[in-house]
Amino acid sequence: MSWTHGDPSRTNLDEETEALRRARLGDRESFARLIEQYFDRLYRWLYRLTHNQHAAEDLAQETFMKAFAHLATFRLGSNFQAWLYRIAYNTFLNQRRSASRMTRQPFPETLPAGRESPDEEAVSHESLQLLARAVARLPNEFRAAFLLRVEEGLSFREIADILETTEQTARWRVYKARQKLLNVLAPQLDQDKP
Amino acid sequence: MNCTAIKRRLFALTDPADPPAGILAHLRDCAGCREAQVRLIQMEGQIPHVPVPASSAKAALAAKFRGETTLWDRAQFHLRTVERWHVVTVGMAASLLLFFLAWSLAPHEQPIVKTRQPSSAPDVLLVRLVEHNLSLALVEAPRQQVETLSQLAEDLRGQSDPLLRYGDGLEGKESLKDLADWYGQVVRMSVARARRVPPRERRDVLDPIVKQLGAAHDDAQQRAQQLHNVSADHPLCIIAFAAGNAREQLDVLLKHDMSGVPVPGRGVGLARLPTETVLLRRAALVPVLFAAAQNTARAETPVRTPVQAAEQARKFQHNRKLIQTLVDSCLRMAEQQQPDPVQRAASCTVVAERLAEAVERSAAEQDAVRTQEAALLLKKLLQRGVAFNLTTAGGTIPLGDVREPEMVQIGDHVSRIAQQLEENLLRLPDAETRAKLPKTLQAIQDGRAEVFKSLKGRGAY
Repeated sequence: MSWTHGDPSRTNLDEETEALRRARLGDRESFARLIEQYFDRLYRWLYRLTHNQHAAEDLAQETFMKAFAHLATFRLGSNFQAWLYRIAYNTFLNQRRSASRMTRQPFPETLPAGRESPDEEAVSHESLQLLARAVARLPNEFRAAFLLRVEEGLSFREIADILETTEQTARWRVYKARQKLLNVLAPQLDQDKP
Repeated sequence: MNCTAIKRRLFALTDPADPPAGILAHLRDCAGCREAQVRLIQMEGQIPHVPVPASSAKAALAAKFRGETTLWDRAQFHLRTVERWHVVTVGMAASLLLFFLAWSLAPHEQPIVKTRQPSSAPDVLLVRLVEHNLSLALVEAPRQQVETLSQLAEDLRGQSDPLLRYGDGLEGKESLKDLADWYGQVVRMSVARARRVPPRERRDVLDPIVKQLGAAHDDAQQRAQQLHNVSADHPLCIIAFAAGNAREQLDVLLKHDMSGVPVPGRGVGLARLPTETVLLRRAALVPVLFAAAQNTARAETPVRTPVQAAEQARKFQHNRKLIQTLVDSCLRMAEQQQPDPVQRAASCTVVAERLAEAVERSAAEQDAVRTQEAALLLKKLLQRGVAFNLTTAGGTIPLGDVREPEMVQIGDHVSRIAQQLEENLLRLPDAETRAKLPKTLQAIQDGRAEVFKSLKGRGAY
């Protein structure tokens, strides 16, 4: 059983629903498959929120544990990703409130190998660093909404569902995030122009 | 539309690369806005390329679900089912209570206490005690244990008034005395468990319990004062003392937390907690739902008509041994320093045996509703208290292990209980009673089947 990431067909949605139904009845293998499907995305989003690998891993694990524990409350047929991410976001917020142990990790010194020339690689590396720092400086709620829109490709309605706010607010947060990022990155973007 | 407005709309689009016609038309004519669009698309296009450190946590977590399940995982998984059942059960019980209240508004000057009539009203106390057993059979976190014990104490204390007013002779007095003793044991156990609650959680968990104990103390003391010539060992005085003492101890515990003075048994400091402890601590959402479900069905001071109170007293006396078994089982499970699923299953089996007796007794009394109710409680206990814990134990006890006979013995015990009960029910002399048994028998079979399933591959199963 597998389904396409980011663009589930009707068949894939049915498969996911079936996996969820089985997981609710105690089929841990089905839940393990759900973990394999969603973990990377969720971890990536949480990493971008926390900018801390260990914290992101903890949060991701905790999210899946909570999801498993509360699978009975999930309505089959509704958006599992939104539900999962909502748990993650609330867990992230709770942790932020009660602990101030988030430490920033330096950006990785090496990037995945690409086809760019050394000069292009250097530009990309610096640009990505600047971009990552700019994103990290966004307020939590802006950053969360922005990343859900840009990396996860979710609609404003889905983002609102995850962040437990209105669609209008979700749209506004993404708007503000874009505005702030472009203000900060305008000089760099000019440099990167071909 | 000016450029500021266009850019605002552009930045608020789902996909800036695919603007609607109005914005598109502007972009064709405005280099500045076009430039903004390009930058936005360029910037967003780079986001996925920002590197993320590789993680091996996914594989570890998936493996955990595939084979290396922890007790916590299973407890959390099943506890949510207990929650759902509990909400449904308490909701049904509340509806039936309301119906009974409406029925009891017919004028009766004196409550009927002497005549023993089969009762068709559900026994809310039994339902709640079974739920508390299941809760303690499944949870591991001290927080959840403390909250469950606190709820148990309140449920017991709620029986003191009916027993005091309508307890039947010597049996009533002994029931009240037992109640006070059990109450004391439960609150003392809850204080002992409270010390194991992580300090960061104590305020949230213990504050309401301290208030509850204060109210319990005041209430019991006030009622004792209204009686004449009450000695210090009167059940109300015992309840008042137990509640007051427990409240003081919890107050001390909380004050020590605030002052930063280490409290004996405090195992968690301010340093970062290990991951598993974080999970245990943070993922305990269940008590909130659990307590909410319980609180919806119970007022702080339940308002009862005399008939209701009398009926409650009668039921308590009638089920005293079963209630004792349920309370003992709760205490036994709360006492375990390290949760042992085999012991928990065994404890639930002892309760199951008593519940089976209750089923048989109700059937003999021709109380079809109570018979079925007790059978459903028995089924729930077998499925979630026994089978679940045996399944959990099965995850860590390999086939042929030295502890396997213990597990098989539990299965055998359940088999005997179920078989005996079925035989006795089918032998009842009253044909009308036997005709109402199919659902009851089905419940027993379902419960037994679940236990057998949990032992598959072990012994003769």
